[in-house]
Amino acid sequence: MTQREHLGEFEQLVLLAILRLGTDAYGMTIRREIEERADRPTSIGALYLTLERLEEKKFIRSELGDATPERGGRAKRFFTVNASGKAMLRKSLQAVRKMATGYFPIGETL
Amino acid sequence: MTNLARNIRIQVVAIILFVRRIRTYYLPFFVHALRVLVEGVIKLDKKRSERRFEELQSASSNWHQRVAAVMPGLKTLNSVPQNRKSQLLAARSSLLEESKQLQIFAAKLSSHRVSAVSIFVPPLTYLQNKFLIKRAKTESLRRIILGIDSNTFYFELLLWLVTSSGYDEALVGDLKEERVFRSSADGEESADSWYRHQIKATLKDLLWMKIQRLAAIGTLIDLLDRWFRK
Repeated sequence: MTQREHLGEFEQLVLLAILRLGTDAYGMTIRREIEERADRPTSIGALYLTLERLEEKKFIRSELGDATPERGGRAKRFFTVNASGKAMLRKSLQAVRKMATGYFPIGETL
Repeated sequence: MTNLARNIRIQVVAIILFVRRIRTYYLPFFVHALRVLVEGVIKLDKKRSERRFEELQSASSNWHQRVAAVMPGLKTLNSVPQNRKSQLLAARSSLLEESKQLQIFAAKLSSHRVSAVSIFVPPLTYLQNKFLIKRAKTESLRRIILGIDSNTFYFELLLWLVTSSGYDEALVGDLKEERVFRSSADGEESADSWYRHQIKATLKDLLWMKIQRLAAIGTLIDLLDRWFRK
């Protein structure tokens, strides 16, 4: 993890969704989690682009699951957040909290 | 669907399959043959080096035996007859000369490097791994071909063309799964509409990303061009 690396807002949301979903984090559940909790409509393509980028940065890792008939015989790709991803997310959220504290009342409850 | 439309679809698929066959069968075969050749050369070189080492060991052991035979006479050189003395001194100088030659041979053997062709192994391994991914992508194309009569055939084909190899299967699988889920919850029409919308949005995002990458490469080429012209 280099000093210059940082997380965008959507990357934060994706990492948080994966952490919340635990062992059931794959494309569609991550997308649903973001849409329901963050109220943010998300295309599956945009989500996969972000997942690919996060995996390239080694913040997450993925492994293939079993193929199911309702998926047209295609396997699910499950995602897990790496230690470096958790550290980066913590750092990124702390930065937002620091910036918001004392300015937005909501910042104090973050 | 008319016969003409179906034939066009079949031709589109045939062209794509032809291009992919070059990348997934002919090129991998060539790379595999090259790797077998490279590994053969490396193995041959290793064997040759092992044989040389054995020769050195045998020569060295022979030299030690001869030294052991001459040593007692050399220790009592002053008490042996002149004839025998000359023989022992000649044997000593011959052994010393041989020792120098053995040292040179050993030095050559220890400084021997693995054949230069071994530098080709990592890139060939990398290419072989790449071809395996390409083969998986071709497999996913076969699944799309199975649905050649589906009303989302072209969308899925476009999606397949623009997604990266590791993720295309998971991406299309996720879309199919959600479509099935929505179809049972909201009805077929709503599920179809959602599916098409998702594919369009995904295509837009992926194509935009590809354009951005191309633009980045273009900028890099432009910068290099300016730098070389200076």
